[in-house]
Amino acid sequence: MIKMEVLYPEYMNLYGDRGNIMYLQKIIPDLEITYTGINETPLFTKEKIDILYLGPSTEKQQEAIAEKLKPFKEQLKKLIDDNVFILATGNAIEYFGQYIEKEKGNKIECLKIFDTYAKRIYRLRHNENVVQKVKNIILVGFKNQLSHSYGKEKFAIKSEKDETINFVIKNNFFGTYFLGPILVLNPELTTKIFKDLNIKIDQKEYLEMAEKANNKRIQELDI
Amino acid sequence: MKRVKSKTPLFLTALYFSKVLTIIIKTFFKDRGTNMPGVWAIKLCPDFLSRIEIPPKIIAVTGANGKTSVSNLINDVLVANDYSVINNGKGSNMDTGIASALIEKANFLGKVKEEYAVFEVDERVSARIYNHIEPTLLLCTNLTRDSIKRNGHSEFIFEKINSAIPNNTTLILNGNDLISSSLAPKNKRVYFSVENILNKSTKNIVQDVSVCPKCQTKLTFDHIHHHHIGQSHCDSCGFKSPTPDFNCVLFKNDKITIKEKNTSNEYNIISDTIYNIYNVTGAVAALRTVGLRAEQINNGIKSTNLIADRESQFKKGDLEAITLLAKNQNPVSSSLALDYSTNLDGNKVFVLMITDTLDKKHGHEDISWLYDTDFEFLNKKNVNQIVACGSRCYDLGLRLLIAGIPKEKIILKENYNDIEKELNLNNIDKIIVAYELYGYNLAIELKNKIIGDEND
Repeated sequence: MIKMEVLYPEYMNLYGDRGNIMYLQKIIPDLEITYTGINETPLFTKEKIDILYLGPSTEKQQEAIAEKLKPFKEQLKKLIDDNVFILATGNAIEYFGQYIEKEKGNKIECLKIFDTYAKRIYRLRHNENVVQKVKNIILVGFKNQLSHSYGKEKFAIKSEKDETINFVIKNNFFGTYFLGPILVLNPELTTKIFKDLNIKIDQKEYLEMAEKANNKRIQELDI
Repeated sequence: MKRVKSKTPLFLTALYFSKVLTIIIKTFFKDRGTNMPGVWAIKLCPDFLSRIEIPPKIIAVTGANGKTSVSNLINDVLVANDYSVINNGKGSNMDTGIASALIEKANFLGKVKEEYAVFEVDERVSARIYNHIEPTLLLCTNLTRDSIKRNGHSEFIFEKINSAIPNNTTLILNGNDLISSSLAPKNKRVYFSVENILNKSTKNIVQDVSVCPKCQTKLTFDHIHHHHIGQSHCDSCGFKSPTPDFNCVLFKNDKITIKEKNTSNEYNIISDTIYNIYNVTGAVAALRTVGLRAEQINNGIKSTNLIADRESQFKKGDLEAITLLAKNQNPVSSSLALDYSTNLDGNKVFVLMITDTLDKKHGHEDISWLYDTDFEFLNKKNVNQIVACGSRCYDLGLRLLIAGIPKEKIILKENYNDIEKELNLNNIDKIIVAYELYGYNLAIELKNKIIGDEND
């Protein structure tokens, strides 16, 4: 049985993030999913899990979530060290940094696991279809950001265009500003992640269709 | 209405230039380029909208879904009752579209004689309009997740509208939407709601509000129409949806009953979908607030030709073709369209032309919204075949498989040519062509190939 925990689904589900969960449900036959509500204690504090998912949220919700996560700092750090697969999409990546600086300059303290910090600049709302080669895999995705991450973290991977951070990848922690169904969009990444985890992915029907969709996209992008 | 800001030479130059442009466009280009006069007026005189005269009563309509229908309906009812109205229904819902509508009706002194203006306003440009023009009424239909690209998320849009609302504007708000109903809490407000009149509750895969905005406890929904639209309360802190001033309490014989303070009235509706009932209820709340009588409103509703371009039905023998707008990138609008159409009687074939044909020029199209849209509704016995078209057809195919639809029912087609050859119409009662915002012509072309163009 593969145990997956989805954190705070009332809030952390903005942009088709459910796609990742729905897809994994189909391709990992013995996946057991626990949805942990914003007022509940996370499963990872009580038992061993294999996958933890955190999706993007609105800015107000992000503040509430940062507060909720604080007591679990050491446990989350341990999950990363223990090679648990943690997927954080969109602005969920920011909880693992030092702080989030709000528009007016005040800060939301975060878990301080990585040496990154985020800044919200609403007038620079960033909207982009992105393609980036990461660890030899071409990743495609979409970004919609009201905040950006910076910092000297050695596990961070910056955007190809500027100093902003697009990814933080350490062990099996995979944090990315790409949002929505990135596992659906990137079959090569998904295959690699689960191969490394030694988790069997199955069901040809879905995998082949994801492959076809990806091929068509890559062909259009002409890369 | 006279404005605080005077008519400077710069303003008058912008006005003359754009007036002449209006006449040229009308004479030579008919309906094309209707936005250009406003574009130029604002380019030449950036605070043009603060200086041109405006009617004494301004009704602005905004929101994620339904704003075009509601503003058209309010306009049509006012016109049917012989009020003079300026309306941006033929142009854009940005500041330039509103400027164009005013320029068309203004004389060369910048004066207008109309009594009303009804403006559909894109949520994102709220400040660019309300900083210059203070609406008498501002109706917000609802705020839900929408196109990520255009709108980000609903909290972002909420702030855009909220920070731009003038203090003296009366708000007409959807009491069944916990997002938009909390706009500008200090402003005078009128709430409209719809009770569980269709005895139908749709469970969607996403919901923008599911916990109490005050204490984060899971909300209890007394009834829910779709997504987070419904009546709810919090068992923990006592928070609840606002009490409606205009409450739609009954649907019977193709009419709805709307209860207000001391009276209750019956109204005609345009179609019996929940979103149309919300549209009519919202429009009634606004029109009653400016003083129209129920019979005046009903006369207006009868005269309106509201839904022709959004949902049309054509028949040939026993086969019916329905073209249906499912706004691309907008998961709420698309889910409502799928919910409605998959619940129609009979065996059905669906043609999905819902991915964005224009988006390709940006490299590739974001498909996140497919996973916020309820394709699960298509997983029904009497949906016999689904044809998904366009470059994103494989993404759609995967989404349909994930929705549990057997792969034998799915046909994928990268282009839009010869779709009719793929259709298996044996024993089929309805063919439903769902199209995206810019795909109307493709949908009609296909419809014509299947059942002819006589009954357009």
